[in-house]
This record gives sequence, C-alpha cells and structure tokens, in this order.
Amino acid sequence: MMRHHAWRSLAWISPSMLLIIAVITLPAVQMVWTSLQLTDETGVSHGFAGLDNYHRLFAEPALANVLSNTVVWLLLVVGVSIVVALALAQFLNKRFFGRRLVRWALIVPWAASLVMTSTVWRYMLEGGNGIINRFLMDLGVISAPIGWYQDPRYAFWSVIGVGIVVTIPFTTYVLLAGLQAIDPQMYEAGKMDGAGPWKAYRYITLPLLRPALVIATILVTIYVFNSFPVIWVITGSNPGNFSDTTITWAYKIAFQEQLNTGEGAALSVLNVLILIVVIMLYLRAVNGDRERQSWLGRTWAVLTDRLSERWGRKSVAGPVSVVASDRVRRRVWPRLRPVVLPLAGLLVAAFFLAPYAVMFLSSFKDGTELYAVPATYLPQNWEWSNWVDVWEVLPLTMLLRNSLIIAVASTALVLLIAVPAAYYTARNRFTGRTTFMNLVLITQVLAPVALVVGLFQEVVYVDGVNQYWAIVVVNAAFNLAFVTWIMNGQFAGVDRAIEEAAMLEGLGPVRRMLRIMLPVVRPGLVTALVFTFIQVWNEFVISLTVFNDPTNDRVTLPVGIQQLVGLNQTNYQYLFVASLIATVPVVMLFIAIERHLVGGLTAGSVK
Amino acid sequence: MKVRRRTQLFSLMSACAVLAASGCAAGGTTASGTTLDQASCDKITSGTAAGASTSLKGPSGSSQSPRIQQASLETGLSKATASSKTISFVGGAYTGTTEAYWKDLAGKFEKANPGYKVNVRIIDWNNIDQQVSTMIQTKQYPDVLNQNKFSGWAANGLLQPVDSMVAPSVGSDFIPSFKENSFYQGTQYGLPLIASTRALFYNKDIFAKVGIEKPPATWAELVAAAKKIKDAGYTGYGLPLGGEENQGEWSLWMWSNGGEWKSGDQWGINSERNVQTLNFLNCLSNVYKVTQPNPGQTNRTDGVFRPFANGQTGMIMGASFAPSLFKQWKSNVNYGTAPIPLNNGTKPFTLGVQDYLVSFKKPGNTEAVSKFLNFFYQTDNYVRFLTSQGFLPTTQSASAALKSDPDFAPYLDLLPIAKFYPSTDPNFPKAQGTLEAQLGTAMTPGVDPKSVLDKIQSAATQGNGG
Repeated sequence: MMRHHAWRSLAWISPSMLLIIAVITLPAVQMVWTSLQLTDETGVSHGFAGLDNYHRLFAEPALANVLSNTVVWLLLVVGVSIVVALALAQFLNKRFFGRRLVRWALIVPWAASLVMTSTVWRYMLEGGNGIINRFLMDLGVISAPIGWYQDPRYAFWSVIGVGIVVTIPFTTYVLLAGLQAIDPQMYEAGKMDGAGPWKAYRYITLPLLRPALVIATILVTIYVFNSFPVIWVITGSNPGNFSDTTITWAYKIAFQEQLNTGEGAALSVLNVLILIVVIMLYLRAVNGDRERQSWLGRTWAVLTDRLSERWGRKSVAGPVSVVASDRVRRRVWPRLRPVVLPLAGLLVAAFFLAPYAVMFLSSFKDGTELYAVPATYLPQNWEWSNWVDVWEVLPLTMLLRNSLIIAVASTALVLLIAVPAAYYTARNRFTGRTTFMNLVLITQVLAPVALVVGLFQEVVYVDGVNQYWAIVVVNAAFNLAFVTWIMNGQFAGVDRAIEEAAMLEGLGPVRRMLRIMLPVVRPGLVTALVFTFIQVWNEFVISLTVFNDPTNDRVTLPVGIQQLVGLNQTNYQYLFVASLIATVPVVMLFIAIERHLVGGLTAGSVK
Repeated sequence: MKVRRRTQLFSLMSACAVLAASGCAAGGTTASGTTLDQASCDKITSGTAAGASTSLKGPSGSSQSPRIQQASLETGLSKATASSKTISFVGGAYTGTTEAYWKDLAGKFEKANPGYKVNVRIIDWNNIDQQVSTMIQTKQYPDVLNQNKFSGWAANGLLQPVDSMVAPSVGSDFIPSFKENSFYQGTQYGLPLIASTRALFYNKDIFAKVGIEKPPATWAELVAAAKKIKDAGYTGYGLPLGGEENQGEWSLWMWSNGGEWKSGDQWGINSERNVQTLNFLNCLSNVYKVTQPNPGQTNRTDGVFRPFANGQTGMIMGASFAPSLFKQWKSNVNYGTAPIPLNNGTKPFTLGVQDYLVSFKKPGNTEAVSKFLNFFYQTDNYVRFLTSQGFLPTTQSASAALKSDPDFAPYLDLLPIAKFYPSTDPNFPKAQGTLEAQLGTAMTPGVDPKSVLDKIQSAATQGNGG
C-alpha cells in the first residue's frame, strides 16, 4: 500500500522534478563548480583552485561597502514597498468612482519589462536634460539641476527610490487579494464590540492579512534581492561601487572589472546562501508559535500596542493615516468622501503612470529634443514618423511573433506540469513531499543570470541552441516554482468535502482534478497564467544566450529591442516606441483578467 | 592678478613640477596629498620643454619575431579533419543597423557560395563580454568573432592565425600600423575591422562669441579658453570619465602629457606623470570648474557628444564617428576640428582605436571561414559596412574609396600618427576593465588620484591566476 502510494506520487510530481533538476539544479552545481575553478580573463579554465576565489572575494576592498549597500537596499525597498502597499491596498479596497482605473494604472509598471522601466527612469533622472529636474525646478524645490544617478551622493538613493516604485504594484496586488478575502462580517462584529478604525485594523485586518503579508514579503524579498535591471540600467556604468549590491557586483567581477568568472561565481553562491538564510529567519520569526512567541512578532505587537494607545482616542482611519476626530469622521467625511477618494485615486494613478507617460511623449520627440536642456514636457515637433520608422529599424513583426509563441507555449507547458504536482502535494502526504516542496522553494531563489553558463552548456549538449522547444522548456522551468506554489495554496484551500462527493461517485484523482477542482480554483489558475506569461514575455538573459539567431528569424522581443542600445548611442525614441508596443499586449491581457487576478493571488499560504 | 603672480613664482620651480609633479602639487597645500588648489593646478600646465625629455617612450608596436613553428602546426592540424561548410559569426551591435548588415551579407555570401552557410548572432555591447565569456567557458567557440580585443584568446591558444586565411590581396591591403597592432607574439591573429581616431572638436560660434581666435594647442591655452567659455554661460570643456568610454578620454590626456600605459614591458599606469595628468583633470573639474557637473560619472555619448551637438559645450575630444552621429541627431552645430592639445612639449598624436575579426580554432572550419572573410573584405562589401556604421577603414583600398567623403577625409589623414592601446598585451582587458570601473571615482573631491591609478596598475600586473 505504502509502496504503491510512493510510486503513484512519482507519476504526479516527476515531470516537475525532472524539469527542476535539469534546468536549475544542474546549472546550479555548475555554478558551485565554477566558483572552485581557476578561470582566467578570457573564460578559459586552468584547473581546480580550491577556495582561492572565496579568499580573493573576501579580500576585496569594496566588499564591506557592497554588503552594506545590499542590506540597505533590501531593508528599505522591501520595507517601504510593503508599508506603502498596505496603505494602497486598503485604499483600493474601498469603493469609489474610478477605482478600476487606478487598479489598471497600477498594472502598467508591473507588466512593463523591468529593463524598459529602468531605462525610462534613467532618462528621467538625467542631470541637464532630465525631466525630474525640470519638474522640481518648476516647482521651486531645487534651484539647479542635480545629477540624480550620476552624483555619488544621490546615485544609490535614486535607485532605491526607483526600486521602491517598481516593487509597490505587485506587492499591492498580493495584499489587495488578501484584504478581499476577509469576511466583512468580521468588521460588523468588531463594530458591535466598540472597536474604532485603528483597533479594527490592528485586531481584525492585520491578523487575517497575515498569510498574504507573509507571501508578499517572501516574494518581494527574493524579487528585490535578485533585482538586477534597476541598478544595472541606471547606475551600472557609473565608476566605483557607490550603488552596487552583491548581485550587480557579481556581474562586474565576472565580466567587467576583475574579469574573474570564478570569483563572480563565488559571490553568486554566497548570494544564494544569504537569501536562503534571510528567508529561513523570516519564516521562523513569523511562524514561531503565533505572534508573541517570536522576536519579530513581539516587536510588532509592542509597536502596534503603543501606537494604538497613543492614537487610541483620536483613532486613525486606516493606514492611510488620515487623522480624524470623531466629529469629522461622522459628519464631514461622508460628504467629502465622494470627492476625496477619486481625487486621491487620480493622484496615485498619475504617479505610477508618469514614467510611461514620459515614455509615450518622448517617443514623439526627435533626437535633439530628447536631449534638450531643460527638458520639454510635450514634444515641440510631433515626430509621428518614429512610430512608423521603428518597424523598419527593427523586424518587429518577427520579434512579436517569436515572443508570443514562446510565452504561450511556456505558459501552457508550465501549467501542464505544475498544476498536477500542486494538486497532488496539496491533497496527499507522502515520502519526499517536504523535499519536493523545498526544492521548489530553492529554485525560486536562484537568479537566471547566475546560472546562464551551466544552462548554455546543457542546451548545447541536447542540441537545443536557437530551438523553440529549448527556450520554452527553460522558461517553463524558471516559472515552475511560482506556479506550483500558488496552485498548491489554492488546492489546499478548497474544502475536501467537495471532492469526497465525487470520490463516492467513483471519479479517479485525474478526473477529480480536472472536473471538480480546476473550475473551483480558476482565479488561481488565471494568476499563474498571467504571471508566467509576463515573466517569459520580458525574459532577457536566457533568450540572449540560447535563442539568438537573426539569420533564421529567431530572436525574442526584449533581445531585439536591446539592439537599439548601440555602441555609441541610444536611440531613445525608437527604444520607447518599441517598449510601448511590447507592453501593450501584456497590459491588455492583464486588464482582460484583472478581476480574476485579485482573487487568486493569495489563496495560498506558506507553511 | 594674484593668481598670475603666483604662477610666475612657481614657474621658478618648474624642474620640481616636472620631476615630482604630484608631490609638488600637494606640497603647497596639505599633507594628505589630495587637495588641489588654483596654484598647484596652474603649475601643471606651466611645465614646458623639460617635460619632453622625461616622457616615457613605450614601444607600443608589437615585436615582430615570427613564430613560424606555431603557424605551421596549426595549418597541419586543420587539414587532418573533415571540413565544415556551416560557420557561426558573432558580432557586436555598433548601431541599430549592424544586425541587418551582417544578416544581409550572410545571405549574399550563401548565394555566391552554394552549400555554405553563415549563422549570424549579434549582441549588444553591454552584454557581449558576458556572452563571449559564456561561449568560451562552455567551449562553444564562434568561428568568426568581432571584438575589440584578441590577445587573451591568442595567449590561450584558442585562435588560428589569420594571415594565411585571407587572400594576399586582402592581407597586403591593410594599413601597416593597424596590421602591426594585430599580432600576438609574432603571429597575426586579428584582422583589423574598423578604426576611429580622435581630434579636438570646438564650437566655432561659441569661440567667436567669446573672442577666441584659434583652437587651443596646449593645456594652458585650453584652460584659458575653457574659462572664457564658461564665463559666457556654456560648458567650457566636456569631460567624460564615466564607465562607457573613459579609457579613450584618459589615453588622450595621458599621452598628451607625455605619459604612457606601459614603459617598455612594464605597466606604468600609476607613474608620476600619470598622477599629474589625473590631478589636472581634477583641476579642470574641481578647481577651474570648467567642465560639466560630475565628470567622473558622465558617459561620452549621452553626456558629452549630445550637449556638444546641441551647442551647449565649447570643446570636447571628438571622434571620427561623431559627425555621423551629429547628422543622425540633425544637429546643426558649427564646429571645427583641431589636433589634441599638448602639455610638456609632447609630440602631436591621435588615439587610434581598432576592432578586430578573429577566428577560433575549430576542426575543419578554415576553408569556410577563409571564404567568408575574403568575401567580407571585398571593397564594396567592406565600404558598405563602414559607411553604414560610421567608422574609418583599416584597408588602403577602402581609404582610397572614401577619400572624397567629407565625413571621413579629415580623419583619414590622421591615421599615420595614431597611437594605440596596448591591446596586444593579454592583461590589457583587465587593466581597461578596472580603469573603466574606477577612474571616475578620482573626480570625487577628497579622493587621492594616486590610489585610483594604483588600483588600475595592480589589476594590470596581477593575473587572476594569482
């Protein structure tokens, strides 16, 4: 019986296992191997080096600075994003005119490729011709232009700011989903007991939001730690290490400054270890026998208790921090509400859409005006031809087609493989289940950029270079963890009674999953689908390495667009046009299924 | 006035300024050796002919001792195996049209040589080092590679000698100085692909407006001109020391002050003369304040060429490919070109930069690679590449063909006095990488320029092998 069970579990999860081992574990082993090899400047290996690369790394004078940057980056970006997202989620959970529009506005930064978003931010943060300087000077905040990403005094804070802005939308959506799952009756009960808004938030909202908050924090921590494009695009070419984190520094060590791939690999190994430790510590802190038992829980409780004491009488209307006296709350607020909320919504939407508005307007400017000092808000001469010429500059039709094929196929493959595994692990306890789930968690932690050498070697070995199937399989593997995770949570959240009825009717597990469970977890399925689609659509490093053959029309959109960043100049106008064209299909997809999306993000939980 | 008198006083000590410039520069101010003031800055440009005698004359051309043994070994190897008719070409994206050019050329080549196939792969310059390193680590060598270096691969024995792979008519067509710069230990491994040279660009309208009659020929004149231009509300001199291309800007200033990358076989990046040069760049930015803000973090194309094209800057170190950029940007800046301003009585020169085509050893690829290379260097194909990408030719026939092109003509004449990076030294890529990543930090007030140059020197002298 037991053996039969173990054999059966293999049928459900072995495709996932195979994919993870082949595409992620083997290259990870290769990364560790490289870190123990002596590799010269050109990439040629000269044998075993022992721990030399690690010694060399620890002797780097910049190490302390880069490590402290990494800590600051992680704490500030994750911390501020979560706090702001909590407030935004609370806000977007209220009913007001134009709410849907604000939600859509928040989708755009999430759907746009990070490389492109970073590029437009870099353009906006320029010293002389930057539009941010123009804006601040018009407002009278500053009197002379500031080199936001050039001046070493501001560079790191600028990238942290951008990091926060691009992290908020995703975080908000995860938390919003959590808020929507809270039963409104809970608040009714709270009101009966005389709880004010702050007490209701503290004792009803926050505890119930906890699973969503934990998921958001872990996903965001991984995402922010591994975030390469923001820092790389904006300050990557700045001399010095003023704004390097361990991720960008590993790249510099391997390919730009030290030209030592062994040492770069050593830092990548260290990165993975640091991240695993951070996540373990975090999980331990939040799961340590409910709140008051753990250090984090205790601190949190002390902090909120003190706050509620202090604001207890005046009471705070939710995390938006509108301090309101009772009188205001009862008499004035209901009258102001229909005006204030949409207005605030408009401001939020404008803020998050601003970079893309700049992108859109700049796409109509000519080469000279793009660099005009001071920057212009609206194009003086509308160069409509940019939008026509770009189709000649880039083979856009081919690029769009390839990206579409790969994104659709990868998404389909990952759902096909991960959903059964998620269903099975959610419903059955079996030997190796924990190992499997841990393996899945770890794959989420590994950044593709660190694995690219081993991956390429494997793809060469199976003769898959420039083949659709190879890039599809690799993309599927990198998104497997996320889909498994989300879907596992979804399935686990469904009442077993629904299935038991079907079981009595004699339906096998496959049919139960397909006929009974999938319709129930549709929101989660949609979430997984959108996520994978976007990730694959915007993926750059792996496509560049294993799928780049212009002779046979095999190039993906992000790789194709990158060609516009030439040796001596960046054609911003074409870059912006192409980026917008690339973003439109994703935003449309998002808007089409936004309603499902919010429901699906957090039905899962982390154990 | 006060300043000028002090300058005269200090000129008495010009010998000191030449022999131990950095020490003297610091001597008048603080003991830390990092603070520059007006007087110590002025002193750098007051050194005259005496400097020339101490300038280091590094023979940057490679030694020509031929290693026939090695070459014959390679040809013997390739004959033994079956030949392959499909080859891969990996190149960098110089402009948005580079990929289209190579794709088109491969198509034409395949049509002219039925049965042969060239798989093109173009990578943007931000990622090409990482991608090529990945290929080398996984032993997936491209048959033909377009890069700006070759000696490291040659030192590892990965490249095949190319002189025998191109027809004699192609091999003898290269401009000698470029061909000489393509050898590693006596064997030619690189085919010169493109070249560029540098010159001082100055805005004629601004010069007329502030009353400067001719472009500066010395550092002292450059400072004087830049101050006038700055007082009129423009950037006096555009100084790009950001990571994009600061090795070019640095080489120009270093050489014009009589410094060198290497003296003889020894790296000399942190020589006293070079410290003096870096101090002077610091003076331009922090003491005379005639540059744009944050020169240490300014990149060349966006941060210096663009403002110049928009008429905001008085002077820059321009490049031969800049006019084609200005044209693309529809700039109507009225500018002239002049030789690089000199200091310490250095001889006139320009910086010549060349990129290469190299071929990796792969069994049986010699014939197809050879056919493709000969096809590419046919004058019409080659000239089409140069004009579409905006670079100078490295062959005599293409030079002749482009002689009448106004965008190319002024720079073609400079080619004979071109000096090159020591790119034939396998350690150069690492020295360059460290320089790109560190040089700009020397512009931060309070940073000791010597310590920055020391870092680059140690990167150049210590291999990763330890």
